Amino acid sequence: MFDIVVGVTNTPIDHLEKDFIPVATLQGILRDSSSIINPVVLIETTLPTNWNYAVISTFGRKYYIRDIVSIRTGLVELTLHVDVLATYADQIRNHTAVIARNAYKYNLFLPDTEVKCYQRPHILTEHFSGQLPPGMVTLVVAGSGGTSSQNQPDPMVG
Amino acid sequence: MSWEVKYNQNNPVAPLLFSCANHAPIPTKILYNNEIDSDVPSQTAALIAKAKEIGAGITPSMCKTSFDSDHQSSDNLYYDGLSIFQKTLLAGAYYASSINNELANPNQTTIITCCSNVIAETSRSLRNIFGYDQIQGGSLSPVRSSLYCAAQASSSRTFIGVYCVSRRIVPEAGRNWYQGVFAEFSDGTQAILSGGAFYASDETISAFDDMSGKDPNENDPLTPNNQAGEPGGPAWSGGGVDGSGGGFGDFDYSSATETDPSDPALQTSSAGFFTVHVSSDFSELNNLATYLWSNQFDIDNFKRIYADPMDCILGCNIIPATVPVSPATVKVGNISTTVSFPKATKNFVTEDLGTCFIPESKYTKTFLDYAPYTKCQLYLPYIGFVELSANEVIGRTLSIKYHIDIVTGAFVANVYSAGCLIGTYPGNCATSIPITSGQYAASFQTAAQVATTALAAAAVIGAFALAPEVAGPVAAAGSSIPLGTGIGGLSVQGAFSGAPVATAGMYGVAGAAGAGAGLSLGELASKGLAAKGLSDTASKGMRSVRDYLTPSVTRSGALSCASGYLNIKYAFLLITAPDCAIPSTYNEFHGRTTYDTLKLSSLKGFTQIAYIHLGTTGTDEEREEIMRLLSEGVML
Repeated sequence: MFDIVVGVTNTPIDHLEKDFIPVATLQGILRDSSSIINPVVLIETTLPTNWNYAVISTFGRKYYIRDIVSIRTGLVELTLHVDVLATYADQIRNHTAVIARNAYKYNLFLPDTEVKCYQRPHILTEHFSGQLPPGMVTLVVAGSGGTSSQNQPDPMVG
Repeated sequence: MSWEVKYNQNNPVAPLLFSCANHAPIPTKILYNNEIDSDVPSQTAALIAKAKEIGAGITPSMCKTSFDSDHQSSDNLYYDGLSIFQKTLLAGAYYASSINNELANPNQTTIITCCSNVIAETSRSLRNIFGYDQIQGGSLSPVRSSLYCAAQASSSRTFIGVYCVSRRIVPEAGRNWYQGVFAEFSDGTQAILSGGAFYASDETISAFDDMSGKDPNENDPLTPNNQAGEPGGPAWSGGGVDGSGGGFGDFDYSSATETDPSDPALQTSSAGFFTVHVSSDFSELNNLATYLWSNQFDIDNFKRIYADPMDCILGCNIIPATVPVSPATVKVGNISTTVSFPKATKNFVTEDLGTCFIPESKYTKTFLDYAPYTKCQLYLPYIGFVELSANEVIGRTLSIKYHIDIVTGAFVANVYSAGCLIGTYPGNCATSIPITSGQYAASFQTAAQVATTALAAAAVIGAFALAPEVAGPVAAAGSSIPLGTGIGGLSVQGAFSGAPVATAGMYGVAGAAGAGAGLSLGELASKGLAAKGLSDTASKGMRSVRDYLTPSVTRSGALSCASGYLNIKYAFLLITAPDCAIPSTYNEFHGRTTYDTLKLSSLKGFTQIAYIHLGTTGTDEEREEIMRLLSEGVML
């Protein structure tokens, strides 16, 4: 015989900790061959059984209530499954790990293959600051001709 | 003027510079002369004009709180609502305008000053405006900022050294006022590190010794290189990422500098067997033609050596280059004429097509800005489109130089990214002007080859299915080119006739290809994509970046000679960047990539674990479930 606190949580199951609203503390016993991870607990109660969460301090664990079966009047069978995140939350927090993704600490220059892209990409142009000159005419003639006709400083053509 | 080497190459400032911008070691000297207040780079006047232009509408009330004489108010500048760039400009412009007296003094160095918190962004932005050469880092740590600025500003060139030309004692402040601290680069330009105000205490200067190997901007939240373990950042310590994170891609600057080659010393025209005459129009050529067909030309004397005057004309081309010339008259077959036709003094020339800076912050500012997600194609005149890696483009300054042989038209286009040669492309830019029958035939043959090559390239394009929006603009460009002057144009203008065919061919077919049905799985598979990933994506009806590896598109064929002459003469980048869909709750529900070692207690929100050594109490089954949940992602 042990105490079982039953109640309600609206916290999504992937949260490390759950907001638990206890409804009642009841006395329960284990059915035969129950495991500590998936225990089946018999409790005597006439209360409405709209619970989805339970805490059994004797086991040192928090449980999801997976199923509630009425055996007979005043006797209810709860099928539980351990909430490992909430049960071991403190221990988990104390761990150091290589973080793959996080909501607030991230590096946008690391590839994220799960980002979706629209089929139509952006197409942009970036121009260079200069350009080739419009062109000039070159005439290549045989021989080393081309005598200097004037003594002028070199002009630039083009 | 006497210079004293205050610090030499062994000074720890040098490694500091290298660490902040990943540059190869450079000699660093700090010189000072107590008699000189400043040094004036040649571009000071331009900076003054620009600073006054920006500062014209700036009042002290707009930015005085963002800037004070000691450059200490960085918080306002950073958090005051305006963008960092705007605020920095305001502050810099205000400062510039507020010291007009100093600016008006040609012996006074200049100034855009910003705070260390914004130094990275500023240096990237302002260097575009001011041509890299006028950036000052001031504020909380003037030495660090200045040096960092210099390193940023030098990303497209090689450092020669850093100099401090003067020091003024400011007794009332109990500090030294260093002026004219500037960097010298390999291309002969200088960058002002600190102009009008560079306060530094003796302690700060002596602290140079203590800064060796440290990140000069370690407190700068906008400096991507502050990421632990990244080049320029602190040593890897397993932490320190934030939401603004990032880096500079995988381009390694450590040895990535190549100076543009100088023109060859041996000019082929010096051989004496031919002479290159140059003119900006056809007037000299007309004069020569008139002369040759006139009775002034001594045809009898000429025929003792040659059968035809045209035998002496080795080539006549239009070359897109600017060539130094000297006045000369033409000699045809050693027979002097009276026709004036300037002679080229060199036959290898270099044309600078300018620079193009692609700010890292311009697009998504994420990994999507880089390869393979973003594709960059560079259009080069007389060559066409060539593929570049976005890793070598984004956040870099690209520059292009054409080295042209004006005799043959052969050229090589060198493309540099941040001073490093990343591509070299040969081509020919000579548009032949047929003068002899032989040249006419050769010209036509060349044009026909160009057309054939282009059509073959277009056929290759057809093998791909272009997205319509990609092909659309290209096809539109193609449609504007008259087809009518195509193959049928076998007339006197034969030298040019192939070009429209080639141009219309390659663009037109590309347009037709663009009407295709987009990417096929087969094409994507050919890019090495996993079939599972594709099917997953297809099943979700969404396109993941995983399968964003679009096939490369050949956008042009051989674009040399006359076809190049008819096309665009400037270079541009065509950037195809993915447009990502990020739902508003994406970060909250699914997080973004972290990949860092962190303690879970330091995190909140969605967290997915890559690797963990779990040491909780509980049964094996419980541990396995914890591992599974953590790898799938939990809310901390």
